[in-house]
This record gives sequence, C-alpha cells and structure tokens, in this order.
Amino acid sequence: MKRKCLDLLFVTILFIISLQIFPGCIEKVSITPDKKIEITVAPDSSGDEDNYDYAMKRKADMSASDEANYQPKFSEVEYAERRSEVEYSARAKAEEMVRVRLFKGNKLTLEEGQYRQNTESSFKDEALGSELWIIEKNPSVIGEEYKTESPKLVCSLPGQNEVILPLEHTSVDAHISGYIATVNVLQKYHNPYSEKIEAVYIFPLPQNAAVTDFVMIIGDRKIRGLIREKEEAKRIYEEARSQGYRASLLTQERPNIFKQSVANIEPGKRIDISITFFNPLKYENGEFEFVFPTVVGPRFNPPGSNTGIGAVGRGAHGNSGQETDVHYLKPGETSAHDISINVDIDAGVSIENVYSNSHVIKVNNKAPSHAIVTLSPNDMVPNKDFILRYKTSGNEVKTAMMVHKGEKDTYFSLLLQSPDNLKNLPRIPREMVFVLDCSGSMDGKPISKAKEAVTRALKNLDKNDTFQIIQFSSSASSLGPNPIEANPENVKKGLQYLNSLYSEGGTMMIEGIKASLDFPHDKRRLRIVSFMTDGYIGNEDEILAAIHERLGESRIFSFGVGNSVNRYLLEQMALMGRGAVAYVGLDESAGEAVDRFYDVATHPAMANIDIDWGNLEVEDVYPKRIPDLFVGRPIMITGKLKNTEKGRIRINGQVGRNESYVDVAVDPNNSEAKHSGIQSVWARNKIAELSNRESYNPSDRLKSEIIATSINYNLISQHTAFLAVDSLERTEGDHGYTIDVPVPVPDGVKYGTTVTN
Amino acid sequence: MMRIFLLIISLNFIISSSAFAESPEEADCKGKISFSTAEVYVDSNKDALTAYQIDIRYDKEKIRIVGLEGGADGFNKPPFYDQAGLEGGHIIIAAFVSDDIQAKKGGSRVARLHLQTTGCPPFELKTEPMAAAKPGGKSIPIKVKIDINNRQSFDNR
Repeated sequence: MKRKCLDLLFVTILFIISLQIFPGCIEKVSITPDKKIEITVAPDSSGDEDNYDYAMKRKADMSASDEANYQPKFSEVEYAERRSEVEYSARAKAEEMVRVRLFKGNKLTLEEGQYRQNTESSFKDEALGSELWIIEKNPSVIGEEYKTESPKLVCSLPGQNEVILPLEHTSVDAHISGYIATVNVLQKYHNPYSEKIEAVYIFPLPQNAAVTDFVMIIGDRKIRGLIREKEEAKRIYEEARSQGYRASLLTQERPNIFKQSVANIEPGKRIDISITFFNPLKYENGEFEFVFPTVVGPRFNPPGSNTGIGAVGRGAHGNSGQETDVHYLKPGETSAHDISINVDIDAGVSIENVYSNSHVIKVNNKAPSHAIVTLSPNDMVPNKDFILRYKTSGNEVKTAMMVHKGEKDTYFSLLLQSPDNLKNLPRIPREMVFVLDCSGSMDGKPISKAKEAVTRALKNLDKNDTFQIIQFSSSASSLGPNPIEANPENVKKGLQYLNSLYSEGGTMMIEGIKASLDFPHDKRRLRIVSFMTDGYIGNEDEILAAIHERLGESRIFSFGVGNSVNRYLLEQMALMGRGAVAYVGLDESAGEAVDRFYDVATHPAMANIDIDWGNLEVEDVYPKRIPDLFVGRPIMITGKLKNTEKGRIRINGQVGRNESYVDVAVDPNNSEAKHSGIQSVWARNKIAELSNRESYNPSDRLKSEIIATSINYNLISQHTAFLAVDSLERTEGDHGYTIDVPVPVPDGVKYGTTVTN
Repeated sequence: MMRIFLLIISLNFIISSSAFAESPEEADCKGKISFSTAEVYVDSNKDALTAYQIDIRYDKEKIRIVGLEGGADGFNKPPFYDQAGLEGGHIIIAAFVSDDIQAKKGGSRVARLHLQTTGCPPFELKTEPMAAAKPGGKSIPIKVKIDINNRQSFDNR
C-alpha cells in the first residue's frame, strides 16, 4: 500500500512553492518515463506587485507622466522581509522537501533518489538566486482511473493560491491551406473533486470562425453532437443533466464568445470536447495573419442591461446582473490550465518570414511552401491572443478565386486586391476625429499605447486637415466644441489635452459614438472617426445599430489596443463604418502601426464598389454591400456559382473623384484553387449578414432564416447550439456541483478596474 | 322513449370511457422523457463492407436524436450526418472505413444513435439503405437492423 502510494506520487500533484527573487514561475513539471522530474522555469511572464525588482522594471517602462505618479507597493526592505517570512512558512508546512537552485529559463532534471531521499539536496549550479522548495503531498483523489499526463502544477509566488480547475488543457491544431484555416480545438476536462460536477467554460474563438463539428470524447468513445435550435438544445441538455447522463452543450454568446457546458463528470474521470471550425485568414500588406484568441476580456455593461457579458471574481454568482458571467481568477491566484498551439502552413507557394510578436514560437520548415509552427512550452498561459504572421513569395495573393462543389451548389470565395498603380493616389483632406476609450479597462499600458498612437497621428496631420479629440468612459467630453485646423499651435493644444486624459469608470461607448457622429459634417473633407479601444463592452448590438443609424458620409476606422481585444466589435465597426481596422499589442510599436494604418485611411484605393460578373452567374453574394478597397488589404467575397466558365469580372468603383474599373481574370475550374471549407465560410458570411441586420432591425423572419441556414449548413449561430448526450449509461447520484471555470484577466488588464467582486 | 335514449347514451359513455381509459403503465410513461440508445447493424452478406449510407426516419414527437456514435472495428468513428431533415424526424447517416483491411463481411455494428424519447413505447426507427460499397468502391446490397435498448427490431422499409 505504501509502495502504491509512493508510486502514485509520480503521477500526482506536486506542489511547488517558488521563492523567486525575480518574477516568473515554474511553467511546467513533467515526469519522464524513467521517473525523473523535469522542471522548466519560465522567463518573466507576469507582473507581481509583491516583487521589488518587477516594480522597478515596470517603473522604467512607464512614460514620464505616469512614472512621476507611480509608487511600488513596498519598499525594498519590506520586500526582503516578506521573502524571509515566506521561506519560514514554507519550511513549516513541508512534509518532505528538496531545495534546489535553478537557472531562469532552464531545465533541471532531478533523479528519483535525490528527490525522495534527501530532504536538502544541493545543486551547485550557478543560480540567479532562485530557490525552489519541492513538496511531496499525497494525492487528493485516489483512483486507478485517475492519471494525469503530468503532475498538476501549481505555480505559487509568495501569497498566491492554487486554484484547481476542471479544465486541464486546451490544444489547438490548425491546418492552413491557401487562405483558409481548418482548426481543431480540444478541451480536456476532468474532475479532481470527490463529487460529480458540471464544468462551464466561457471562451473565445475568432469572430469569423465557422464552427461545424462538435464531438464529446469519453475514453475511447466519440459521440458526435448535433446542431439544434438553441432553446430546444438547452432543454434536452438540462433534462439529460438532471437524469444523470453525461452531456455537453456548446452555445454562442457572441460571434466571438462561446459557452461550453459539460455535465455529470464523475470524480476522477475525464471528458474531452473537440470543436472544429473554418477560419479565413486576414491578408494585409503582403502578410497572412492567423489569430487565435485565448481569453475573453472583462466586459462593461451599461446600467440597466441584463443581456450583456458579466465580469465577476471566481466563484461569484449573480453579482453582475447579466445572463452570462465570465469568472476571473483573483489577484494572487493562478491555475494549471494551459494551451498548446500547432499550426501547419501549406501555402502552395514559398513561405517567407514566419513570426509572432505575441508569443515565442518554434518554426520547422518542412519544405519551401510548408512550415509547422509550435508554441513554445514556456509561453502557454492562455491570457492573450496568439498572432502568427507570414509572407508568401511575391507581393500579391496568387489565387484570386477558390471554389467548392457541394452536393447541390457550387460555392466560391474571391479575394479582391487593389492593383499597385493605385498606391500613389492624391491624398484627400481629412476631418480626423480621434475617439479615445478612457474606461477602467484601459488603465495602465493600454491607455499609454492609445495615447502614443494618437500622438503619432496628430504629428502626421496635414495642414489641410482638421481634427477633434473625444474621450469617453462613463460619459464623453472633447477638446473643443468643433474640429480645429491642424496647425502647429492647435496640434500642441491637442497633445496637451491628450496628456491630461486618464482612465477610470465604465465604457459608455454609445456616448463616444454620438459625440463623434452627431455634429455637422465638413463636406470639403472626408470625416474619419478613429476609435482607439479594447472593445470591452457587452452591448455590441446597440453600438452597431447606432453606427448604422448615424454614419452618413463618415468612415469609421477602429484601432484595437491591447493583447486580447474584442475583435468582433472592432471588425464590425469598421465593416459597418466602411473603414478598416488595425491592432496594436501592448508590446508592439504604436508608431509603426499608426503609420501603416493612417496611410491606409488616407488612401482608399477604390470606394463605392460594384462588381460586373461578366459571364459568371452568381447568387447569394456576401457581403451584400462591398466595403471600400484599400491598398494592401484585400476584400473577401463569397457566393454561389451557377456556372463554372472561365471569365473576366469587372470591379467598378470610384478612385479619388473619378469613376474607374479593374478587370480580373477568374477560372473556377482551376484545380489548385479548391477548399472544402468554402461552403461553411459562405454560410458563416450569410449568417453574419443576417445577424447584422437583426442587430438594428430584429424580426422573427430574420431569426428563422438564421436558424434554417445554421441547421442546413451545420453551423453554430446565436440561435442554435451543438448538443451531445451519452444515453448509454447513467451516472450515479444527482447532477453534482456546477463549477464555472475561471480564467486569467488578459495580459495588461487590471482586475481591480474591470471585474465585479 | 326519452329514458331509453338517455340510458343508451349513458351506457355508450361508460363503455367508451373504459375503452380509452389509460392503463397504469401508460399513465406512468405518458409525457415521460427518457434517454436510450439504438444500435445500427448492417448485414453485407458475403461482401466486405467499406462504406454505407442509411436513411432513418422516426416520429419526431416521440424521438429526438441527441448524439451519434461509431460502431465497432472499422466503423468506430462517429458517422457523418445530413441534418437537413432533422427537425422533421429524418436523418441520413454515413461512414466509411479508413482502411479496407478493416472491412468485414456479414454483420457489422456500424453506429449507435443516442436518443431522447418522450412518452410510452414502442419507439420505432425505420431504416432504408441508400448506398453501400465494398473494397474497390463497387456498390453492394445490404440489410439494416436497428436494436433499441436490446429490443430487437427488424425494420427495413
């Protein structure tokens, strides 16, 4: 029995308390087949106000005005005292321990004998001053079925608490062919408790993901879920749950937010959920971009609303007053849930320069046109968007049209790209309206980044431009009553006003919309309204409806600031506002992003586009209203083909103030240009179009059409859900406890200014 | 005359009430929601089965399909389905083995349907084979059998 318990220790929980002087933590502990323990220490990845060196480093990164106001949490002496206290308490709690020293970012392998026999093992490696206390504890759940792939790791800095989650791991496997990615997300749930549980997890997916497949995996058994009308699916799920059957339900809360519920997970047992979706890639300035979001940012919901997305502390229920709550780990809490990402790029042409500014990756070039990208095991905390970019040889997309012959219809996607000779168009005088989100979620680095971007943009204004600066949080205010000329004196006033802004309060974006669109338009200039925001709101429909109502001749350019922004809102604002969207991460240069973005805004290549399809017969083309075409930013159009003849289509539009056209040759029979995901992408675009209309003009007819499209094409939507029930056997007892899986607050976002406790 | 007429009416009423009265078992299961499974078997006789497509129809008021699971051996992956008729009590399932070596002759359990049932049995699923193939892709005839919760039901249309 003792031997069995000891053996189990190698596959059970290890509690590691790290007494690190520098911030960072143990990212991974694994048991090798020959029973050695491998410990990987991550590079600095998280901030910790309890650490003096981190505090000093943070101060050095701040702007001058912010630095003057910053105070570290403790003095240097106080930090040292706190460290000593923790050392003592850790020793007191330990049952058996080994003290080791580690390099930051290195691996250290402990032999089994040393680990078990020595209470104080000494490794004389040159250390950075870090010390580890490794404590063995008996497993909290004993069972033959309870096996973990690796010991459950708790990374605890002084004062931190472990939170055991029912969600162990998420793995993402993407295959990119042409400009469409097929992505499989595998979520691994388990029950580490002694009672049955239901796990509920709110998570993001790309806003244009066409989710087409859903499989519940129990051991060797795989049960494919079916798409149903949402309320019916919920009823069936609740009935199955109450009767003790294992069941899973996937619903869409927003186009980029989903809720996974898994019922009746027995103690010590596992259930995995596999979700598959198609996702067209963005192509911009010669680079493809694959984005996978990993966490939902905390949303603000206007007073009186109850259909938003709440942001509450772990375990809090009902505090936000919203139908759906995202639970956040509290400051000082960590979890072992991590994410692995693998991307297989099969570009069809030579791939150049694969990189990620958001994460550490490893690139394996299998062939000139084939690369496999893997997320570093040191960068697996799911608290920011994964962004992968790569160039292909040449400066333009090689294949304009891709087709898929379905059982009944033929579907196409077409990338429209502006010709190079439109790059040198004359610059149009602009009425620039900068709208800055100064809500609590922007506190810290996000608002610094946003100010940096606006500062750069102000300095690039032309003497023929005018500008206005509006800030919004709980209300809105502006630099002045009207836009002012962009002369040096006024730009200086604008910079002073900008520097005086600070973040606090709610996110009443509707006030920013009204303030930026409701004043009279200067007809000599193109009004460009530039929103600088993280998009953390729960009333997206209200905002989009307001834009639809008020836009007029203006253009909206949305600028996402942060590492995990609400891309659905930002993309839709740009689409509805006939503009474009850009993003800047907290560790990226705002200046470069702004220069590229406002160059685009200044030079729309072609506006008011209409397509003459020539001898091609098409129907059900989406988007219905084709956005303006910008240099370096192709537009994707999807539709159905009634014939597949080779031909030439003509893109008519306005270039500057003149009517113009561009002819593009297309060949639907090009055997290289096929992709089975096009049908799903088309259906997803149709649902998006119908949903946009529903946001400002809801009707039963639109709802029915969305449901019918969703069911016919096996796609999730806001009115349908995926459901799987294992009716083979009933689990014992009642349905147990519901555990809302808490998530980390996104990187760069502050818990205190965004989460309701 | 009037009395006789009323007597006849009363007797008719009593008799018809008795005839339509629910049995205790029916009262127990009326409106009851349960969950069960249906195993789908395909008999390909002397041919090895590599692929199938089966049309399944049911009373949508009494049966809802809530999951699709694979069967045995080469058909252990969940089948694909055509959901167009799902709301109307109709589903088409299809699957194929990934390796012809896994194709078996005779009987194969090719799928398991997970069901939510409402009300009293019997719960019937009617099947019609639409297509089946052997190694090489040649079309073959098959018979389909549905086994609901171990109650045998030969129900080919």
